[in-house]
Amino acid sequence: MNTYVAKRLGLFIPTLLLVTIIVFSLMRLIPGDPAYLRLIGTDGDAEFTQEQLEALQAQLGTDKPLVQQYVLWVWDMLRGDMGLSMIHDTPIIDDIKDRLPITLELTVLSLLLATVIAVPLGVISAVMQDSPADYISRVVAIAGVAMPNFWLAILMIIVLVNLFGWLPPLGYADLWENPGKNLTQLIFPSIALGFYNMALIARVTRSSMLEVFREDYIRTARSKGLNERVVIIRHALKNASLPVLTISGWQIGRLLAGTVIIEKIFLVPGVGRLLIDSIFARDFTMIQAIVMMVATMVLLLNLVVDLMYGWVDPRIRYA
Amino acid sequence: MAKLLWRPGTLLLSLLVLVALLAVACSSSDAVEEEAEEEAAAAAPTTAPTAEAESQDQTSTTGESNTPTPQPQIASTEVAMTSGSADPTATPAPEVQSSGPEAAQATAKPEGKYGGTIDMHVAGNVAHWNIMECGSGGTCMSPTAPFSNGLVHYNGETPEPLDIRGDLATGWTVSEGGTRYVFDLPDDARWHDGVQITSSDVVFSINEMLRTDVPRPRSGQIRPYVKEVTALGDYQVQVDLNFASSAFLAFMALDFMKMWPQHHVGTDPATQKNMRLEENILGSGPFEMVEHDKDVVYKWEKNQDYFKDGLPYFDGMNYYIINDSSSIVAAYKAEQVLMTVYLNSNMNVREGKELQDHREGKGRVFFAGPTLWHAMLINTEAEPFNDVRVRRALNLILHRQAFNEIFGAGEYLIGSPLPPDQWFGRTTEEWLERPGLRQTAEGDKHPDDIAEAQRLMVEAGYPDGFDTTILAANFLSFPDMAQVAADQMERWLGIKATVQPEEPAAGYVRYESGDWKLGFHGNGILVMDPDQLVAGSYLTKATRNYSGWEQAEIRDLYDRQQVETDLEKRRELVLEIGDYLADVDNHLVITEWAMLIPYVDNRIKNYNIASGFANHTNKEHLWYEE
Repeated sequence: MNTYVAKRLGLFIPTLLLVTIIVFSLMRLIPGDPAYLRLIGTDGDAEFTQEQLEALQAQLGTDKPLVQQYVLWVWDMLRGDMGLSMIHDTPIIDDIKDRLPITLELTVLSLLLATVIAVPLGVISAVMQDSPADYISRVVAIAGVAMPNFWLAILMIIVLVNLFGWLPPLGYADLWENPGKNLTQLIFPSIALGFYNMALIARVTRSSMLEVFREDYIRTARSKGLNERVVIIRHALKNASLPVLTISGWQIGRLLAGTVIIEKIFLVPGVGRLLIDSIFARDFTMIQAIVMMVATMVLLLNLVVDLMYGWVDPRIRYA
Repeated sequence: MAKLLWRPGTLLLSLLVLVALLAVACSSSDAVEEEAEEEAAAAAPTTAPTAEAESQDQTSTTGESNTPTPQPQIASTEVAMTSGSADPTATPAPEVQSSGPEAAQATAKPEGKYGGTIDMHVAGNVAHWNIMECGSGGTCMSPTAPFSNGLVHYNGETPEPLDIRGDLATGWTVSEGGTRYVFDLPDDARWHDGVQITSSDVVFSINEMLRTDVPRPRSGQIRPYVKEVTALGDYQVQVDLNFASSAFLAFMALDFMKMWPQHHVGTDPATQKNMRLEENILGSGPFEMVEHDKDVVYKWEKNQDYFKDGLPYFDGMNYYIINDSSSIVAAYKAEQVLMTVYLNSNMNVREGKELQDHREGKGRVFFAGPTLWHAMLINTEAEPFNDVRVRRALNLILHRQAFNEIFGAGEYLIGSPLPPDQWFGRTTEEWLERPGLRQTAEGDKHPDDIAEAQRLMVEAGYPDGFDTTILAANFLSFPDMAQVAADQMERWLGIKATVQPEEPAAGYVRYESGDWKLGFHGNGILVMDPDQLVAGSYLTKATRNYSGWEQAEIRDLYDRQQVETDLEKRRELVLEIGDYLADVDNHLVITEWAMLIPYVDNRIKNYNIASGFANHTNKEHLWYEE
């Protein structure tokens, strides 16, 4: 186990390093000098002089060689200094500190909703295989997988406005200060964000349950005269839940990515909205920091899932 | 089967959890609504006290205003604008002319109602707070406006587009043949930190606008006019101009030209405060910002010590930041926000019409403009576009009416070189008879224009057309517009153009470096004045004139009209410019003059549509009434 952990950790660091290179290079591959873009303004018609351009390049550090810029950036990141927003001149870390909890709350709520709905749906579908309930469950699951979440989000807004003349309240209420309003604001984006996951988990639960139902120990449990409820919950569902847990963990990364568009549509001031607004504003330092942070989180989650997997199932080891 | 009864139970349980969550959500929303209602009740508007100063006659300002430029027209489906003023008043040349009482500061109206915190919509988060460095409406001008004052500003209480009155100034005189302005300041105006506002603050601020060592994208536009600014005692400021200009006040009145507190900012450029930062904002305006949650909301509270007695009416304002246009339409429909903070709502024409239908009788959607042009840009340095015959053929061949139908749902104005229906230019009807802009009775491209364009192409040596590219920044609908242009060019001239969508940042770099042939872009108009229109579009340093095209004839006419004090003569010169651009040569093919589309709920009173996106934004004159 220790070797497995060491090897997995050993892979994590070069992967992270590779991510830093990709993120940094992508930002530099985009045509346009950030100093130039800041001076020329969002409308592209602001006046500035060559001296002003050079002064700003020096201030932003973009006048230095690329390798030096990269090393400085990584060194600053390692020290927890994400730098200043290129547009707002404010510390990036402050923005991320404000936004990350909101995005995490949205992500967790989505996953929670998805799991609460999907697991029973998958179990019913498996237990009542080829019945109308199974068909309905499968149709819902397929629809969930097929529907892009941004489309569902827009549909929800249209329905809410046109049928009820209502939308989740504007602004953002903190979870601990005003939980009711907070939930009102986040419930619909959570449903839109988590619908795909719900469908996926339902499908995985169904197939996993069907597989487990064919196992000898289920037959044995039934032959012992155990209550069917006990057989399904204690024996089948417990064993079928391993891939479900894996999928759920793995889906957190996808959910985080999905927040970009959902937060934009539902006006949730999370990291996703910050990212997309930074992209529109060409705030390269901000984009770099957010992408790096999300990538690190996804890598960490994968690491945790892999380690848990190895712990839960001792057969899983690196060759 | 009985053993399986628990399964629906589990499903039911999970559904119950979801329903419970939704129920909590709905119940809390009720609470929110109740809370909001209580707040609204507590802040119920009350009748304004009788104004201390005499109320203004909204309809009398234009003719008597000392604003020298006559009124341009803006099109709007909701507001009937004054006519194209065939009798423009001359640029002032009297020895001394005082601003009349109608040009004095805003005062409280007897019918005005106090109270209410109004939720509004703004399409853009603040980029920075430095109004001097500000280049755009959404990202810095509109959020700085409520806490700032200019020296003068556009009168939001009348529908007259160029009615200018004092903001900080209580009045002014014009002398020395129109080259000297002396502004009077109030002796009781204070910055929000309590420090008195004096003439040295105004001198300092105007000098800041004139600086050339730092970016001044909009505020620097007064540079050509201002020669010197001097304090005359504590409460008078003298501004000497380089020449008598009808455009000086029009520029000074923009909401980009705000005053800064000298004691706070500091006079030494090396040690000045960084005014881009929120922590350094300080103004004198009708509202003070009490909260800014980035990407979410700006919250404003009434300045209780505002130097204009009885103003503002609102207790506060919340500017909710919504960028996505479908979310914007939804927010207006659900009455989450009652008005657009300034002209740009980010809605397109179709969305505006949809909202108009939905809010019939409850609110007004304005199609305000012309505020910007959309055009095909021609790189006059690149072959074959360095041939004037090719440029002329392109100008003849694009079917402007088709662009208007596709992108403006027929609401935009004809794509003439200068905007139609303004005091200085031709009417829409006149333009529609001109080659390139006319069409057949059936709505097709005019065959004579097609034939002439084809003849020019043959003469230039391109009878079968050629291959080229159209660079189009990937915002608004520029790539789509470029595709329509490509289709029209191929259909009639055999020109095969490949559209190259680029992110705006990358696009600007390519434009600047000359790495382009044709392009599709737009340009906003701050002041509907020939100075801005010609210099901003057709001279060497014009915003979108990336290939530096300039014709001696245009330069000569421009220089002459800029200093012409007889307005009729000035108009004649501008007409000549327009005719040259339409009939001889041009580096742009303007396809349409576009609109901005704001929304205002009927409960917002005393609202008049602004003639430009940098006017009427401090909200001191608006009130709320059921």
